[in-house]
Formats: sequence, structure tokens, C-alpha cells
Amino acid sequence: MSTYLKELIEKLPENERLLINILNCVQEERGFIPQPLLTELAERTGVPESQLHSLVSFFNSFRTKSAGKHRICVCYGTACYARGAPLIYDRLADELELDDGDDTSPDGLVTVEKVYCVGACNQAPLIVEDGQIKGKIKSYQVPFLIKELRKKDQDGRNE
Amino acid sequence: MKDCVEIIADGQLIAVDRNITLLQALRDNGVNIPSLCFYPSLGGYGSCGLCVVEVYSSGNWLLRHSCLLYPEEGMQVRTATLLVQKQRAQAARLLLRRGPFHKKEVEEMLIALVQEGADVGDLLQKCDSAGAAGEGRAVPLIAGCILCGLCVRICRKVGKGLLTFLGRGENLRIGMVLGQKDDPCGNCRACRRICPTGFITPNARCTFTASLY
Ligand code: SF4
Ligand code: FES
Repeated sequence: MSTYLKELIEKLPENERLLINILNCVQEERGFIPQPLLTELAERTGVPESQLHSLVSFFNSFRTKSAGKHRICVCYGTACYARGAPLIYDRLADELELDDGDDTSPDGLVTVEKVYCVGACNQAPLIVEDGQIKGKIKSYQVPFLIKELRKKDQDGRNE
Repeated sequence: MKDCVEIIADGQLIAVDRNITLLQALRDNGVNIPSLCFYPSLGGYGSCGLCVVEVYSSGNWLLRHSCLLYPEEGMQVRTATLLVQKQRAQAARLLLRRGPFHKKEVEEMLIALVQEGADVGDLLQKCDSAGAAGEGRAVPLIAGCILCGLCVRICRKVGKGLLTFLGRGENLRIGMVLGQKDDPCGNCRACRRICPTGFITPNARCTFTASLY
């Protein structure tokens, strides 16, 4: 872990080595922020660990639990919400058998998150699947989306 | 050395130290101002909202937190006007929603403030009946803590800096971050002593169970 953090920090340009940037990089690479990393970051920077927890907890985009292989964000911005984002979300939760308060499917395939306006309201309601926007989604399409992901996953494993 | 300035509080000219908060200065001069989140050696924080006073500024009386202001030469303050009472009542109402509190005197103080504010002026009364603590309100995440931040600040100052705010908005709560070590809390009990509502019993470790991991 310790060289990991060091290398990660050194990759950043000198004037961008802010806590939030470091955390962003970790989140991007790992999909979540592991606790030991915060302990180490605290030691390295001299910022109390408690304050780092506070920082991480403030932003919805930071995760503290490991994420699934794929990431589906359901936009809950006003436009998407009005056009039925909850229907899509509920269908996803159903299809992936998410328990209450859980956001990752038991098989670790997909993590579902709610996000607030990704800036493509004309395509409402939309989801972002692994960074790719898919607009004008109907809830009945959800099972097919998941099927596709499962298939992709299977193919990837067989190769 | 004392940097003295003269201010006018409720029509009285008083000489005060400019390096202490207006709240402290007024209190030192016998003006009674309610507060929950102020502690002299930690300074103002501005979270309880009870300490509001009116300050005269370019032709207007403005409501300001006295714990966040410092006396200036010629500053004019009013501490017990209708508006001040209204504002305090509103703040007290919001705080009461975070109850019930361990210390009954806090609850009584807040209720008294609400009543004081309700007595004055029919006109103003109308506009806040909507904001009154009503049925069906959301239950706060941790009842009994007003999230004043005193425990967090004192732990950072005299303790080991283990307490912190977690989350935000309606999820805001106090958490204790123990890190990898077994028992990093020094049991100084500073947080317990400073908590205005008596929320921390018997100790911080049992009280603050929220954590990210
Ligand atoms: S536990 Fe007490 S001191 Fe700490 S934030 Fe809550 S009310 Fe304030
Ligand atoms: S004492 Fe000023 S806001 Fe609490």
C-alpha cells in the first residue's frame, strides 16, 4: 500500500497534490477508498484521520465499500426524475436483487448509484453505464441491459 | 494589554476589549444573550443561532451572530428587539426538533425562547406558524445532539482529534474515528464536559457509533 500511495501522489503535478485530488485518483483506480489508505494518508500529510473521514463522507461520489465490476448511475436530476428515474432505479434494484441500502449486486457484477444531473437532460431519463450515457431509457429495457452486461462479462472471462 | 473600543449596546455606551467576540463582550457587561455553541476559549462557531443581535450598518439594522463578530469602535447593537426575539425563537424551534435532550434545562431554555418570540406582534406570528415544529416531521438521525460541533472542536484542541462530523445535510452526525489503533481515546472527557445538551454519556466511544467503515 505504501508505495502505491507514494507513486500515486508523485504522478500528480506538484501544484495539484491536494487531498481531494489524491482521493479522486484513488476512487477512480480502486472504485472505492480503503480505510488503511486514509490512515496512511493521514500519517503522510499530517491531517488527522478523523478529518479525512469527514472529507470522504461529505462527497457522495466517494465510496467506502468496494464496488462491482460495472457501474450504473441513474440520474436523479429534476428532468430525469420527472421522466421516471425512480422506475428505472427500482427495476434495476429488482433485477440485481439489491437489498435495502445495498448498492452492489450480490454477484459483484454491478454497482448502482444515484447521481444528480449529468448535464444531458434532453435525453432524460438517462443512465450512465461505465461512463457512457444511455438516454431515453424505459424501465422495461433494464433487464436487457443487465443481460448484456452479464454476457459481456461471460465473454470476457471465456477469452 | 487591552485594546479598548467603545460600542453602544441597547443605548448604553460601554468600553470593551476588541479582541474578544461581541458575545463575550456583551456578556461581560451584564447583557444576557442565550447561546449553546459558544465556548470562550474555542471562539464562535455560529451553529446554534441563538446569539443573534441587531447591528447597525449603513442605515440598516442587520441580524448578526454576535459570537462571530468582534467589537468595533462606535458599533451600535440592539440585543432585545422584536426581530431578535423572533429570530431566536425560530432558531430555538429548529434546535428543539433535535431533541429530546438529556439536560432538561436546555429544553426549558429553548421553550422559553420560543414563547418569548411568540408573544410579540401578531403580524410576525402569522409567517412562522408554518415553520413551527409540527406532526410528521422527520426524526433526526441522532436525537439529543444539536450538532453544535463543540465536542469536535474541543477534541481537536485538547484531545486527540478523534471526533469529527460525518456526512452532510440530514445525514450529518458526529463520528469517532479510531483509526487502526486499539484505544486511541485518552479518556480526557473534555467532550463530555463541554456538550451543552448532555448527549455524551457515559463516554464518547459509546455515544458516537457512526463510522464510515
Ligand atoms: S454531542 Fe454535544 S457537543 Fe457534540 S455536537 Fe452534539 S450537542 Fe454538540
Ligand atoms: S453562540 Fe453564536 S450561533 Fe451559537
